[in-house]
Formats: sequence, C-alpha cells, structure tokens
Amino acid sequence: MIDLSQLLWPGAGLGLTSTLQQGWFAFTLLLWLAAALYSLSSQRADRQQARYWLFMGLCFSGNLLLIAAQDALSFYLGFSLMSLAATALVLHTGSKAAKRAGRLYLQLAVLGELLLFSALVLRAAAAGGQYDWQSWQAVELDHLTISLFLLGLGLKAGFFPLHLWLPQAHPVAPAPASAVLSGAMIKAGIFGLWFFLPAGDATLQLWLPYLALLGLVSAYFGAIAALCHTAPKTILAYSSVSQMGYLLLLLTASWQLASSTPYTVTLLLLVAYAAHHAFAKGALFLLAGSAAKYRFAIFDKACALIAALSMMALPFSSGAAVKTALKTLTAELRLPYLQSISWLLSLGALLSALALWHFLSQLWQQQQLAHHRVPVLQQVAVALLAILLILLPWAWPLLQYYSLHALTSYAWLGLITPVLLALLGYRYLFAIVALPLQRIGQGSRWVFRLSLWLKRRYQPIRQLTLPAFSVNWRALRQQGWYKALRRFKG
Amino acid sequence: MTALLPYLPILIILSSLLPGLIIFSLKETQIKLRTWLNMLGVTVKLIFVWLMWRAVKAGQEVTFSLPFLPGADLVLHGDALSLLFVILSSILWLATTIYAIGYLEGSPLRSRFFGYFSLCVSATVGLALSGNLVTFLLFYELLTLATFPLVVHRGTAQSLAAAKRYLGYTLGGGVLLMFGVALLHMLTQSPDFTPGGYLLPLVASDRALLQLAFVLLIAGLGVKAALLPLHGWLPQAMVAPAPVSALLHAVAVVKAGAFGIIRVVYDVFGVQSIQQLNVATPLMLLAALTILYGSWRALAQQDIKKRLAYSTISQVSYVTLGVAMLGPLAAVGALVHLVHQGVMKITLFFCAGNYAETLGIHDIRELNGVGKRMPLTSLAFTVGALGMIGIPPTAGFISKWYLGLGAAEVDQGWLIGVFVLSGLLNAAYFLPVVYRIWFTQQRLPWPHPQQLSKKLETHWMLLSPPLFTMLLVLLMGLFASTDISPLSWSELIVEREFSYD
Repeated sequence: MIDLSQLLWPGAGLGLTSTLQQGWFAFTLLLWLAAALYSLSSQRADRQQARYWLFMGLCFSGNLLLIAAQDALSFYLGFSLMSLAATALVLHTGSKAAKRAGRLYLQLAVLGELLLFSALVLRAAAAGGQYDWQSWQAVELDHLTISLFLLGLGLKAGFFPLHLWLPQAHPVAPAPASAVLSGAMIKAGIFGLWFFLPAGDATLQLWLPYLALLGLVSAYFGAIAALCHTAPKTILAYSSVSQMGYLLLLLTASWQLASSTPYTVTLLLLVAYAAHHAFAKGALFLLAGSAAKYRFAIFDKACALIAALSMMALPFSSGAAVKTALKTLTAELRLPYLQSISWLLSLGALLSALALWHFLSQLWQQQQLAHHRVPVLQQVAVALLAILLILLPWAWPLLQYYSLHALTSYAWLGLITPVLLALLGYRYLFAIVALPLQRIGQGSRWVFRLSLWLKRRYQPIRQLTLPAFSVNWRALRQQGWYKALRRFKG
Repeated sequence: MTALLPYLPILIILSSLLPGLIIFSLKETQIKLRTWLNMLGVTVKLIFVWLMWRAVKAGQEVTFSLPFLPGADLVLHGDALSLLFVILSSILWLATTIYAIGYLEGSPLRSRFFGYFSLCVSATVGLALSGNLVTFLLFYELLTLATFPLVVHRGTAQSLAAAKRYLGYTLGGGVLLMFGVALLHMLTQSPDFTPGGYLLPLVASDRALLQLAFVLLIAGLGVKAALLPLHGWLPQAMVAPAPVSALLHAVAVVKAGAFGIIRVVYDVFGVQSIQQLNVATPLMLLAALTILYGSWRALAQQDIKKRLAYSTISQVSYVTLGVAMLGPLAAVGALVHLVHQGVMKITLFFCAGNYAETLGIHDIRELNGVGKRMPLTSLAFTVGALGMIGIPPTAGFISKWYLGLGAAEVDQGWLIGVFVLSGLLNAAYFLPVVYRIWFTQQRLPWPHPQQLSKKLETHWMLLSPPLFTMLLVLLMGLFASTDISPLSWSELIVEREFSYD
C-alpha cells in the first residue's frame, strides 16, 4: 500500500489490499484494454478523436483510482473524476439525442455525487475524523447514512428505480464507451457500497431483506423493460439494469452471510459475477457497435452467441457458474412476504434469456443494411473478451467448483430449461405482444420531459425578485414619499 | 534579522503604500517606471511576508504599536490568523498587478488607477495586521475610500451609479461598525485581539449592550461581506474593470468583511461569550440563507461577471457560516475557504476579463465554442468552476469537506443539506457555462475580437495570472496535507485560537 497521508490528506493511501479489490481491478483493467483496442479502429475517422481519448483516459484513471483507494477521499476523487468525465463520452457524438441524454446523465451524476458527499461527511464525522477504510469498518452506521450511500452510489450503479439515465446514455455513447460504462463504470456503485458499508453492522442487517427485494425487482424490471425496446444498445442497457439487480442481490447475500460463511469466498463470488458481466456485456456492446456499420462474419456471430449464451447461463459458460453460486448463496436469504427465492431466480433467468434472445434477433435484423466486413482490430477486441469469458469459469479454481456443480443433472436441467423455453417463447409468442410492449417502451420519454423541466427551472431567463427602491432626496422635500421612491432597476 | 522583526508589520504596509504614493505623482507616459515600482513593491512585500511567516510559524508574535487614542493604541500585530490573510492578499496582489498591467495597456488614467490599487492593497494588509478594533476600523474605512475610485474608474454613467451605491452601502456599514466599536470601547476600552476574546467578564453584567454591539459589528462588517439584506452593492460593482472586480471579490473588500467577522467572533467576543450571548444561531441562519439566495439569484444572470458576483455573495457566506458554527473543524473550513474562495474566484474573474478583453464577450450566450479559440483561459475557467461546486481535487472540495465535518461536529446536520443544495445550485449555474465553452459550436462571430498576441490566445500578461491561480487551486486541493498548504496553516490557527484555556 502506498501511504500518501503526509502529502494529500489524512489517511490517504492507495493499494490493492483485499482480494475483492485485486479481482475488481483486474477485470476492469482487462475490459478497458479491450475497449481501447476497439476504439483504435472505431474512432479512427472521428473528427473529435483527441477529445475522445482525453475523456476516455480521465474515466479510466478515475475508475482505477476508486478501486485502488484505501480511504474515502481517494475513492471520492476517483468517483467524481470518472462520473464527470463520462459526461463528455455520452455527449460525444453531439447529436440531439446525445445532448438530451448527456444533460440527464449530468443532472443525475451531480446529484449522486453530492448525496455521496453528504454520506461521506456524516461517516467521517462518526469516525472521529478518520478517513481510511480500516477504521471505518468498526464505526456503526445509521439509517440516514445508509440511505444516502444507497442513493448516491445507486444513481451510479443504476439499479431500479435509480436507473433513469442508464438506458438513455448507453445507446448514444460510442460503442467502446458504452462497453466500459456498462461493464466497468456502473459497477463502481456496487463496489462503493461494499467499500463503505461494513458487513457486520447491526443497522445494515435490518436493511438486507429490503435490499434483496430491491435487487430482485430491478432484475425483473430490467429484463421486462428490455423487451419493450428495439434498439440493440437500449436492450443491452436495460439488461444491465437487470444484471445490476443481481449484483445487488449477491452483495446483500454476502453481507448476510458475513458471519457464517467465510466473507472472502462470498466476496470472490461477487467479483466473479461482476467480471462475468463486464466481459459479456462489454463484448455485446462492442458487437452492437460493429453491427450498426458492418456485416457480421461467422466469427462475429459466434462471438455474439458465446457472450449472449453466457449471459443466459448456459451450462459450461461463466454465467452458469455465477448463477449457480448466486442460487447457493441466496438460498439462506429471507425476503419480506416471500418464502423461497429459488423459483424467483428461475423466473428471472427466463426473463433474462428472453431479453437476450430479443437482443440477438434485433442485432440480426440490423445486419440487413450493412455490407462491409468488420475490421480486424474490432474483431480482436471482441475475441479477447470472448476468450476471457470462456476461460473465466475453468481457469479460476473457485469458479470451477460451481461450474462442475452446474453440470449435475438436476442443476443442468434447471439452467437449460429457461434458455430453451425463452427461445421457444420468443420465437412463437413474442410477435403477439411486440407492439403493445413497444408502445409501453415509448412511455419512457417522460424522463426527458422531467429533465427539460428541471433545466428550465435552473436556467431561468427571469426570476421573481423583490422590488428595490431608491430615494430621490430632492423630490422628497417637494413631492412627498410616494413620488420620491423610485423603482431601482438593477 | 531579529532587529527588523518588530518593524515588519509596518514595513509590509509601507511596501505597497510608498510605491502607490509615488505612482500618483508619475506622468501617464512613464509606463516603465510605474511597472518597475509596482513590481518592486510586490517583491519587497513578499520578502517581508516570508520573513514574518517564518517568525510566526516558529511561535513568535510580532507587534508594532503607536500611541493613537486614549485606551487604544494603533497596534499592528502579526499572528497566524492575520498572516493567512496577508499571504493571500500579497500573492493575489502579485497576480492581479501583472494582470492589470496587461489589461489596462493603452487605456487612460493609469497612474491614478495603479496609485489607488496600491493603496487598496495597503489598506487590506493593514486591516489584516490590525491588532485591535480601533486600528481595524481605521483601515476598514481606508479600504472603502481606496476602492471607490477603482469602482468608478471607467467614468461611465453606469459605473458612477454603481460607485454611488457602493459608497452609500459601505459608508453606512462603516458608521454601524464605528458605533459598535465605540460601544465596546466605552465598556472596556480597546485591548488587543486575544484568542478567546476579552469580553467574557462583561457577559453577566452587560448582556444586552454586548448583544447590541455584536449586531452593530456584524451589520457593519456584513455590508462588505455581502450578507443578505446588505448585499445590494456587490452585483452592481461588477461594472468596474476586471482586475478590480477580481481583487474586490477575491481579497480586498468582500474578504475584509469576512475576515472582520472572524476577528470579532474569535478574538473580540470569543466562542464562550458568543455561546452565552445566544447570538450565533441567528448569524448562522442568515449566512445559510445568503448562501442559498446568492446561488439562486446567480442562476438567472446572463452577464458573466454578474453571475460570478452573485456566486461570490453565496460563497463568502460559507466563511461566515463556518465561523458561526463555533466548532474547531468548522473554523478550519471557514479559514481555509477564505483562501480557497479567493483564489478560485480570482481565477474566474481573470477568465471573464480575458473573454471580454480578447473577444468582447460579456454575455454567457456568446461563449459558444470559445474553448477552441481560447483553450487555456477556458481550462482555467473550468477548474475554477469545478472548484466552486466543490469537486475534488480542487481546493473548493477541501473547504466544503471541512465545513461539512464541522457541521456534523456541532450537531447541525441540516447544514450539510445547505451545502449539498448550494453545491447543486453551483453546478446548475456553472456547468451549463462549461458545456457552452467546450461542447458547442460557435454560431455568431465574436463581438469585438482583438489580436493581442501573435502566438498565444491572448496577451501573456492576461494569460499567465489565471493559469497561475488555476495551478494554485489544484495544488491547494491536492496537496492539502503538506506543511505549506492553507489547510495546515488554518489548522495551526485553530489550534492556537481554540487552545486558550
């Protein structure tokens, strides 16, 4: 660990001291690498290339800084650097949709940042002026601080109902930027929750059932909302909302089990889930970017299928391993009003699979307009992620256990049924509900109206002001008070 | 060296006063001599300030006194608190002098301008070094008189109106302050400022009179610090030339008021008597209201400098609020914000001046695409704006952090809400400007473009001061823990101010 407290602020330090940080750092770095490779090709003809790389660089450094932070302020520094710099990526294309989405993103990012700020202040005050992670672990939480953290970091993580910016911002950003936004940056929210909320806290334990419920709702909502849209990147964005719900669920489970199961194991599974989602979603976003311009070869289609099937948790894939782990860990979780979570997860898997089949079908449809082949550099970037995705469940001993567990006959059936059911359902039944669903999807425009309304409030042309008067002393003597008071024009 | 020590306070004042007086007598055409005199004054002052800083840091106190009134000598006193303000004004005077030389190149009446400019700085430094209330009052009034000609400098009808309003407000405030000082003088003479105050013995017997004196003093100082009902002059006074507004908003006038409030609360009354007199809460409410009101009004301003002016009203009240909270951490926040706000606001005003001088831009709507034409100025503006919102790693974050911690420390959690709301409002009126600068295309030709430099985007004397202060904003925010940062100095002050018993 690098100690910077003499230089920067009390307690300042950088380092990857826990296994969670190490794992998180590794997959983030790999995803950024793939995105950078892809950008080399996709942004080649970009007239604003310098600006693109500048802000990608800023986001990158912010993202890694917040993972390597050992104290609250370093985290906050990385977090705000990343959040604000990402605005430029959302705005990058300069289209009308990008401007609208950029405004919405910035409004919510600033709000989230300030909520996080107040949470940090409250926490630092409770910790008696200590800012480092170690000493915060022993300090008790209170309800206000927990809710501020959840709101501030949740606005970044984008689980329901704090997801508003996510489906608007992802589709308009350049493809590699959306890949890192969805794969790495929004995970900073979940990472922050782990970083700032100590697992064993008694007050936090009271929140757990509700957080788990929120995670489930988010998982369902994202998958269903994805079906209401047709643009591939929007579908992926909603699928991210759904996946962030699962991550929240997993985090909740790891907090719940902190006292019984070894905490590090559950945390590693959290990392595994995050890494799995980062690689798969990153690859899909990159592919969606290529699909809009180029014609897919067999290779590209294979990569898309690998990533999508992995997200659907087909046996042998990384998705199967992490979903099995999720099921095992959440078996103990108690939800309000609900007895067992197992069948809920199966239903969720079905919905997820539906959303991804929907995505693939929309991606194929987009292909009808394109002619040129996908550039090699873009293929390399996608292939890198696909290989990582294939290796993940087998190269990592911890995941191997769950991968093998997923192959037992009962589990195998449980995993494959939703995928096949979803395929059949999508193939034969979706056409009936497609139009009504799309109409529902169009309803999400209220977000922009709200954002615009807000903008008009904070950028007013005129304001109500109290009238200011000045006294004309000369007139006072001759004409009395009434005439002597002049309206002052400022 | 040690022989020089007792005279340092007066030398620091004279180092700008004497060049100023000589400059008055110079002809308009003696540009070189005037520039040399200015730079000489700045350099000498910085050396003296450095000597004093070393002495004070080592724990020495530097006092210089002359007989003046019965019971109140003219006392100049260098302690940690006064030095904070002295260093701030000396360094920013350096930047502003360079800026002003570049800004006023070729315009008339420069001798008058620089003469009053030096006088203004001498008054500010004198005010910082004042050792008792009477001396403080003297320099406070002197500051009013020295800044009036600067506000009116352009001589247009608008600036005359603004200057008249300015004079009305500040002289009125001066009278209130004088009554307050006289009242306290009547009760207990005017002893030197002491950490912990000197009025505690009187609290029991003269409660009502002390409360009245506090109200008078705060009202008198509040005019300059632009506290809510007394802020009317500040947005008007922005018609002054850019270097003047920069100095007015960052150090000289507004900060003189805020500094006065710090002195009155900590060194005249003292935390304990303020608590017993029950006067802190109203001040705290007023400051919180001013913070929100200033930010709210800034939203609708379309003139760059006017928006910055309303932002000053809001930001300076952070200092007052921090003082009124009466806790040590809040005090650190208030003191450090005195410095940070000064450096950030001066950067913003320099940039606004650059836009106006180079391209003729005064209105925010004319800023579209200016980032391409003036990238360095725009970068400085962006850093300053982010600092105002309180985004790390700028200096603004550090002060907001300590103010927030201070609020939590004295169990006034709702004040964190005020800071968050104000941060949101700051973002709402600064980020759209930043967006215009960098992300929009230029639509109309620039109003009055001038070619001020062949290679750079504008004259180097206009460009280097904002870049220098921008660098300071980042360094102060990033290296907050180092020995020479304003933060550690503020902590030193608070240590000395709060450890009197």
